Amino acid sequence: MSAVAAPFEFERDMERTRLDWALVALAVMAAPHALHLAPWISLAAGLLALWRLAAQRWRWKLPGRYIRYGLALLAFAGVLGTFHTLNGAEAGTSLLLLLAMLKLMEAQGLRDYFLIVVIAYFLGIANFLYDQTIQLALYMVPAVLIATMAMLNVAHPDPERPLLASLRSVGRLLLPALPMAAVLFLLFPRISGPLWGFGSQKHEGITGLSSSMSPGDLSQLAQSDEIAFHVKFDEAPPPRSEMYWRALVLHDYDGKTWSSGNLPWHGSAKAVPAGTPIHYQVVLEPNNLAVLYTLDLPVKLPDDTALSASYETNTRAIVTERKLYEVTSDPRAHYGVQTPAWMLRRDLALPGGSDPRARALAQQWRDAGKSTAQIVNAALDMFHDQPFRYTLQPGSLDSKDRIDQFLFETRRGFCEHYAGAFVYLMRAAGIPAHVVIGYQGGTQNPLDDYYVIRQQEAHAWAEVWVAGKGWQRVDPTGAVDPARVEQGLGDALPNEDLAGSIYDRYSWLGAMRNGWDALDSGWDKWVLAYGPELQARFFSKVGLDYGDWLQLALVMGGLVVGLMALYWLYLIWDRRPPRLPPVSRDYAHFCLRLARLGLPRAAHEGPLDYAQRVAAARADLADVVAEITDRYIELRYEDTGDAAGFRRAVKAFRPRRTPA
Amino acid sequence: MFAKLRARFQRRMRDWAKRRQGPDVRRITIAQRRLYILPTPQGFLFGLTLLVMLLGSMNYANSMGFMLTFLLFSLVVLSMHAAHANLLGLELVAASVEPVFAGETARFHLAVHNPGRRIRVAVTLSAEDDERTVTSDIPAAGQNLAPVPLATKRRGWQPVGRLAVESSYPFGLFRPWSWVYMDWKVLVYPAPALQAPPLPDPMGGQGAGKPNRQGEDDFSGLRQYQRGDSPRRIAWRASSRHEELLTKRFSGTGEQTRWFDWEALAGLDDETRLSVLCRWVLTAHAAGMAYGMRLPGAVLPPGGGEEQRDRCLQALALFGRTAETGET
Repeated sequence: MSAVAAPFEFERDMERTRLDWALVALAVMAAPHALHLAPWISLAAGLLALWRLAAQRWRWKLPGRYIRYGLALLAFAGVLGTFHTLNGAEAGTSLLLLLAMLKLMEAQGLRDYFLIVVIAYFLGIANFLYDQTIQLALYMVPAVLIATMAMLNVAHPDPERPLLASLRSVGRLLLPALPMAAVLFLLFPRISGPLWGFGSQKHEGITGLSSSMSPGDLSQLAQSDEIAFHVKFDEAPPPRSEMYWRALVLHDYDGKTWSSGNLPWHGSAKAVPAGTPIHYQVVLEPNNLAVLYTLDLPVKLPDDTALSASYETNTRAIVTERKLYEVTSDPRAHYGVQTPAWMLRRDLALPGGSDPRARALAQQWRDAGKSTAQIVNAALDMFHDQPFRYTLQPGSLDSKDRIDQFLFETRRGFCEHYAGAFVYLMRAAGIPAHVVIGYQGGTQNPLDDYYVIRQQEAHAWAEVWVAGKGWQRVDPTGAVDPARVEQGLGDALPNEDLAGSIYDRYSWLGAMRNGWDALDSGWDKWVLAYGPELQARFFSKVGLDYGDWLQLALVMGGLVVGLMALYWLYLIWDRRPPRLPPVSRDYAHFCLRLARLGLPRAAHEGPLDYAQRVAAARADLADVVAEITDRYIELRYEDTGDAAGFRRAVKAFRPRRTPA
Repeated sequence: MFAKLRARFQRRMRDWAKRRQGPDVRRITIAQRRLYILPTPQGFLFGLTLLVMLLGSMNYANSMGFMLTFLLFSLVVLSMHAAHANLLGLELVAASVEPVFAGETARFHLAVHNPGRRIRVAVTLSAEDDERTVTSDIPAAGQNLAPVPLATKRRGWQPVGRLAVESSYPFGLFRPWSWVYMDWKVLVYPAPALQAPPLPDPMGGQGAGKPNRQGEDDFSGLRQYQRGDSPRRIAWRASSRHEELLTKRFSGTGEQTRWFDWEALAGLDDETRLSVLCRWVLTAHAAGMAYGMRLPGAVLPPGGGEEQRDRCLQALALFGRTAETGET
């Protein structure tokens, strides 16, 4: 009975092994997707996995073809209904996951299960479309190890193979693969720009500035710990109070929202240097804007960028990947002295009939014959002297006349309220003005000299135009709460306003955060931002010629082939015969000497038979051969005797080629 | 069309390898020059996947995507070497093969010896003319006996043909293989006839012409099962208490010699006569009788026991095939 059942039983165990491993591979690779896939997809995949396992466990019949096709149609329909497309990262991975689970329902044999493992790898790499953090990379190390163990066990299922054996086999391949992967990572030519359309699609869920500003936008950002960019200064950094990182200029106001509007580009923007230039490098996180952040005011721009009429650093396409660039800025530069009149008119426009009290106040200043500087100071004095409060919780402004409501009623606001109201007052008083948004400040990480600018440092300030001097920066928030500009947000806001201040209260937490930030920013700057620019720099550092593809191919190919050869040598060494005990080695030596006489020992021949054959062929050697053979047998099989004497006897054995 | 091309390619490749390697002795080492390697269909699929991953990483300028793609690529490249090394250096020795009856499967026992310190996994052996394979792991500095199956069709000497050693370990992406042409053959006896006339009467027998049933009558003991024993003779109950099958032994009443004569089967064609003679030999042997055999051009003197049986069966197997000789 058992003799008949055994092969069948064995087949079943093999299939079971394949199934288990394929499921494990899918699970580890799909798990991070659960964070961003629609919940029903994770649920459906989990249920299908449970179904398959139960079917295996209790030998249920697997669903037939029509049920499977029906489920596949449902999967397509569900994905289409959820995402309204089958394209794109989310829809694609969802569909792939569901189809893999359905494939599992009918999988049988090497080919099917291998396909599932391949899909698992695919889901694994798709994780990086969402997120390339150190955490995910660390997670993927064991995940790849496990998926590769799955590939091994699917290709060669052995129910009795211990887990450790799989781990060892795969580890012995993955570890030597690392240096080769590193070589390819560094040298494989990187191109800039996507190969096809949707590479530059907007990444969803990026926190950061946008090209408009409504009350509440920046105060929301102020709660975000996310990093906006890193900066490294070549020389001494400017004082913190001068670190105004310019992003966008907002010209148009509709009574609620400030927006940049569409300004025709023209080449009149020109900054006149007046102070010491500051050189620095920026690593910018994707910001979904066609703009780079630069210190007010850039005088030498990175390649591929242009200064807009509003002195923004524009790029050709929106920034969807981490970007590294170098800039020179001059905080004292003059700019916009010759701003054309039509542009100034635009910076005087106000929505018709709004905010009568603010307009009246501005008119009052104007009627008093004050100069531009005096009007600016009057407004700042008002913020400083009257009970205005700088807070993240300003309450909502719901009146039609929001500026009036803020200036004369609530008097609680964040930087966007102050900047907006200030610009409004200036325009009403006949002074061209606009809002600038960007970041203010930055925290130096003592571990790597980089300044970290987080989203919470998002800031809005104003610029007014003074005849003969051009645009002048005015930060009304500084008038309300100078600490915001001098020391940063954490010191400026009352404690209950800001959750982030916990880092300031516990210094060791701050130190840990600094350490992590240094690691994280190093990761960002050197690993994730490794693209054409960094690669060119790396090449010039190691003496390679960027752009000489033949040279590159030779170097890369040479290194890869060299590593392959090294691995091959390791394999040969790893499979060398085991070392014989000394006695056997001496005996092998003895046999070799006889083999030179044309009397090699046959593989099947025992020592005694061999000795007899040799004695028959060479009677002159019979005695000494018999003696050595006896000694050998004694040493080898009886574990007694004189090993050193045996060795001497073998060494002394130098038979003549021909009988004496 | 494709299959035809493929078959032609395979034939070409085999001829080329044979010319290149020369005939093999009965003990060979799988050396570098006789070990070939190509990707499997799975290997091609994986390569395609890597290409898609690379294009995706380039499109999204995704550093981690590049890293994973290059890691998997390196893994594949190294696994090619690992697969190659998994077979390299193995020693194959033609160990033994037992004669079989036509239609049965011959088992060519190959001793696969691994001289190295690392276990060789999933080493698969097969004969060219048989779909079936045997797979086993070869322990470090040890060996395994692999019974390579080969279906037999007609009696006589059947050469083992081309033997293949292969293993797609570790990932099934590459298949290294070695072809071995050993001068090795199995003796195939004629298939015993299923319906044979009753045994001829012993010489000087009593009551000629009566169906002889005496072999069935007197149980005289048990002996080890031998190929060709009638299943009806197997002592099932007794066998269940032992490691091996046992056959009931009967002592015929007649100790006289029976002659199995080619001429006595006139009217049947040659192969059928051989089959009937074969069945007679087996029946007589199982019953412990003494017998002799007369074939055209050969007379096998009477005798008993396994030697007599093997002598007779070999004569039947090689009847009319005098040109072919060889050792087992």
